[in-house]
Amino acid sequence: MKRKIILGRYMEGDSWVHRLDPRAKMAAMPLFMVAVFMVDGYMGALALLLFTLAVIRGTGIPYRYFIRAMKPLMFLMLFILVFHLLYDAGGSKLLDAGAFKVYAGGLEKGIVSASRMALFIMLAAVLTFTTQPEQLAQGLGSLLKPLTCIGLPTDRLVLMLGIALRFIPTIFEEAERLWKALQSRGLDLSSRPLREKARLIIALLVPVTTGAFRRAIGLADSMEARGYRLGAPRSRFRAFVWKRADTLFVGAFLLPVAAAALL
Amino acid sequence: MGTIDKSKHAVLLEHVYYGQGCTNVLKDVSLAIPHGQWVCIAGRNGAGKSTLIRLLNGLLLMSRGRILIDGLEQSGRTLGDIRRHIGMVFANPDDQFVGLTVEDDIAFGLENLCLSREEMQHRIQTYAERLDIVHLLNRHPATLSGGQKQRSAIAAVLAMEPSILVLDEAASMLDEKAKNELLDSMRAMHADGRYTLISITHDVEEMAEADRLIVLDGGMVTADGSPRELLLREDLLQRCRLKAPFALQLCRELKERGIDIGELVREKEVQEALWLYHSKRYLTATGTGG
Repeated sequence: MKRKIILGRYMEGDSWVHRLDPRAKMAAMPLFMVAVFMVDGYMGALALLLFTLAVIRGTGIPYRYFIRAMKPLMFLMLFILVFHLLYDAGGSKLLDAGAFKVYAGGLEKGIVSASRMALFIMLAAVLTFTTQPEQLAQGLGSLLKPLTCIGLPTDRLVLMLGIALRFIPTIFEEAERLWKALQSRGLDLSSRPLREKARLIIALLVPVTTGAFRRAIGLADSMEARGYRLGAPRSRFRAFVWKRADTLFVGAFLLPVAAAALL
Repeated sequence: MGTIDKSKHAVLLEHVYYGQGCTNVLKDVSLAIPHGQWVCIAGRNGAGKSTLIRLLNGLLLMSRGRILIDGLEQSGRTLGDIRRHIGMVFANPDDQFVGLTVEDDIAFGLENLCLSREEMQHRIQTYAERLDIVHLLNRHPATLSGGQKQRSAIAAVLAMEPSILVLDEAASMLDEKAKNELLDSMRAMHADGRYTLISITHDVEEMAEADRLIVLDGGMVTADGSPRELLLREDLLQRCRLKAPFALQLCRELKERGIDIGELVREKEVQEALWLYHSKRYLTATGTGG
């Protein structure tokens, strides 16, 4: 299960993108999002694509990983494209085959909408491929820091996020083991009707959930034994240092915004 | 027990009770463990072993009695300090990892101590070297073997520099090789002299190594003494559902065959005794001494 999904995984590397402050990478995301939503023509989309490809090149991670990251959403992108082709009647008529009429405006809108999604996934992949999950969690925490003054417990949120990320593979493993145990005792899903399948999968959720609770109690014991107290002051092992490269990186994302606005 | 000099003890329990509902899990437990001692706690499942050690650092709170850790009386106010004195390693190595890498996990405890970044780095390096996990520092816990996980967990606890180390069946999920490695680490810590070791275990070989063996049964201390003496007692072993250590079995077999080297519980001692026995016989036979 976990092997198929590539988006959200960290890929080890030592490129300048890897070395950037996670806060810079995260701050660049909303800027890019603005640019992506402002784009409404071929030229703008192309400019954004070139920019994204340049960033991807900077990560040193092969392009095919980014294409694989898009795969699970390929169908949705295709759907968006077809939807626009069928229902958007703007510009000159390109094709007239009885009930199906394709307009240039529809084609452009379809392609731009689908590429909006593709662009965004690619950049999200840049973020997760090049940033360790823990850094991501901590970066998010320090970006949210100002919200502590309205009572948001950001430190706790970061810890929660970190622990969730830490336990995802462990709990997947446990689910897989349970699944195998069921299969080894003669469970065969393929011959069963859909409703039965759904019921069995829910039955699997119960032991996985109780297992997760048991782990949570064990972890809480271990955390307390190591001196963790809710709300107590803690120091930080990983400190972020904002460098000039980070400012430049965030600044560079004004380019696509400008391009999207002008083109 | 009241007359003992309290400042000299790492752990002191006076008439401690712990109950859940109307059943007492621990009844009137009094113990004094001096600094530097290696104590094994034995007893069958449900005897109250885990409860006892969880009372020490306040993971569970006693219903009655007094607990002093390094001379500090346990109460709500001193709990934070007490937890700095006691490091605890649990049975399931998977459930004690907080960090996404071994390094971050060691750092977790140090962050709770509010140490500076430099000090943290220094301690991580020192203890990673001591437990031979330097090459694992950047690994995710899910990618480690059981023994590696447990060594990392011990490093994380030792990095906080506690004076008392409590191991709750820390070897129970490990294979034979990892178990021996753990035992080696414990021997080294004991020889170091800085640590008081308290270990819950079902492993008679480990008990034989310890300075002292405490047997719990039904929430009470039923035996407390040197493992050399206690492990010879068939009734105790049976009550804890344990087999006699291999060394002792060997001694008894040898005795039946007319080779009497006494009853020993450590393999090393048996080795020594056999050497001595053999050389004595040799000397008598050749008439060169004896």
